[in-house]
Amino acid sequence: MNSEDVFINCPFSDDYDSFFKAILFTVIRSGFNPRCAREEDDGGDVRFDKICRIIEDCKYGIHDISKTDSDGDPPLPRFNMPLELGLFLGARKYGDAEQSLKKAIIFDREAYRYQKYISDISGQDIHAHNNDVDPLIIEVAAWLRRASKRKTVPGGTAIADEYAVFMKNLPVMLAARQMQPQDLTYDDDVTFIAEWLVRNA
Amino acid sequence: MNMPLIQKSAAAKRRSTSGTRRPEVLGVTKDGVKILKPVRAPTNFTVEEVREAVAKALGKSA
Repeated sequence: MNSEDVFINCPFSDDYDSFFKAILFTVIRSGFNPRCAREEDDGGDVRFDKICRIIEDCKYGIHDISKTDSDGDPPLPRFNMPLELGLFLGARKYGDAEQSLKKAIIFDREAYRYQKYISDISGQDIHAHNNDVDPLIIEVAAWLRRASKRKTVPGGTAIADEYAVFMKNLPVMLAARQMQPQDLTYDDDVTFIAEWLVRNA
Repeated sequence: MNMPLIQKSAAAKRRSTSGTRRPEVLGVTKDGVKILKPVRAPTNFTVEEVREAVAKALGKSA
């Protein structure tokens, strides 16, 4: 298990893209290495095995269950986030001594909403971001500082300001290739954020 | 609970190879945070292209 690796469990939809990039940005800006199911692989990986392997690697987990809604036709809830949250908590509970050191933060869009559909997670570290990127960044930074005991993790408000500048710069950076921010793959996102931070933060 | 041999073997196969990976540092911010080098290369760009695009957007040389 790597003490720099942070597992990100969240929706991978266009309407969540700015939230997802905000979590990536905060994790990288805080000196950690983001991991998630969107990592490129060799193509021969079974998705569930890949997720288990990534979870096993990560000491920290950021879980956003705010989009566990019914959608599509027929309308069915999206269960991937609760499943991956369960895997992470299970690894902490049943894994070896090292795995028991895992730390998790859980986000929903409103405080206590989870009690209506996943009440068994009561007692975990659950926060509300109210569908706003800034509180999400502030909470993630504060939690990483607290959980890792690294005093170097910057304040969340400062990271949120930097993220706003990055998102303004991103279309400019992509203009030469006529691409939009949502066209980037996970590995593109990580590289752009890391390179931008090294030059600008 | 004792794990049968065949299950132990499956667990061993699942074991990550990155457990002892030492992260490389890409650079350090002004406030002293070490920004880690991404483990995988970007998909749609080379790293040099990303650096160039970042430098251009920030009005700095690559």
